[in-house]
Amino acid sequence: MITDQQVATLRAQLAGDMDEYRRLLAQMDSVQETEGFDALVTAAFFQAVQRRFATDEGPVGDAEVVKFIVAARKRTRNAAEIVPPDVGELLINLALGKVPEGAKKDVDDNVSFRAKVFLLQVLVGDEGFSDAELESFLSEAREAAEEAFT
Amino acid sequence: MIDWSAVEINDEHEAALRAYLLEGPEAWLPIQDKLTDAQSAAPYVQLVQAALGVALRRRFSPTYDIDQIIQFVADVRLSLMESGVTIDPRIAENLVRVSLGDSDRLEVAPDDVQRLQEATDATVAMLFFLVAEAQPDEAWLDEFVREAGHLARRWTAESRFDEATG
Repeated sequence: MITDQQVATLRAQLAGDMDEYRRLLAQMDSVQETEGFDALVTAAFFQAVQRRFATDEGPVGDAEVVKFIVAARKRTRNAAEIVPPDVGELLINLALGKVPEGAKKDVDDNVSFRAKVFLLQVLVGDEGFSDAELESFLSEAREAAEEAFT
Repeated sequence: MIDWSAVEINDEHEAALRAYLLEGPEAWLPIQDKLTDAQSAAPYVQLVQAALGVALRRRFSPTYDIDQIIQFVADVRLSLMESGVTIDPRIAENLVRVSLGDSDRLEVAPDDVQRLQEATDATVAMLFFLVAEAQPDEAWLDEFVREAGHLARRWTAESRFDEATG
């Protein structure tokens, strides 16, 4: 079950309200809550990657993924450290179904989560969503996460 | 474990590097036997690593930033993709940073054979990219190999010192 608080946390993060994001995140003190939030972030990430990189002819080629990760890692001062290039590309390729889930087994969960959150912010930021579009995006992500999490 | 006191980099090794840069890896087929154990391969490996160090220091100005390293490694990888060759971007960026003195730690464990091979692949790929980019003529190659030999000998002397002083 994905809670309203988990959705509010992700909304704050994607809207760039980082104080509110940190406040809400700090209130998640059970494993179930953090796992639910992780599922919501993952669902939103998959959705954002599909919107950006899936085409009628199938997923984009490796070069497009490399170029996106390069650009994302140049966005902020810490981005290069937050998103190791191999992890960033792997996360995108996983979401596109270009590599099997098992390919992620050697990646540290915390590194993967931080990179995923950062890339999600980049992808959503590039979409330039209106408030209504962001709500619709969050609603779809919540639905996908509930399916995956239950 | 390499005995650095027994490692010497001489004209023969520099000539091998020059041939390697001109003709590619097949130039080293005649010396393959010397590359099968770490001790006899050490001068060649040291020289190739030094060549990458020289080429990178020529390519990046002293005021380089991390974005330039990210872009450089991506450019190398994108150029390789056409031929289906891949290198690990994290290892490649780490190698560049170590070569430029931005990091003193190579993030590859000395006993991790697979990662060491990936580091070698990244070293060779970046070296060839940089040399091709320089559009070398004979004089350029002579001077480049001489400078790489000088740096490799300095590193070897430092390794000997570390070995002797524990």
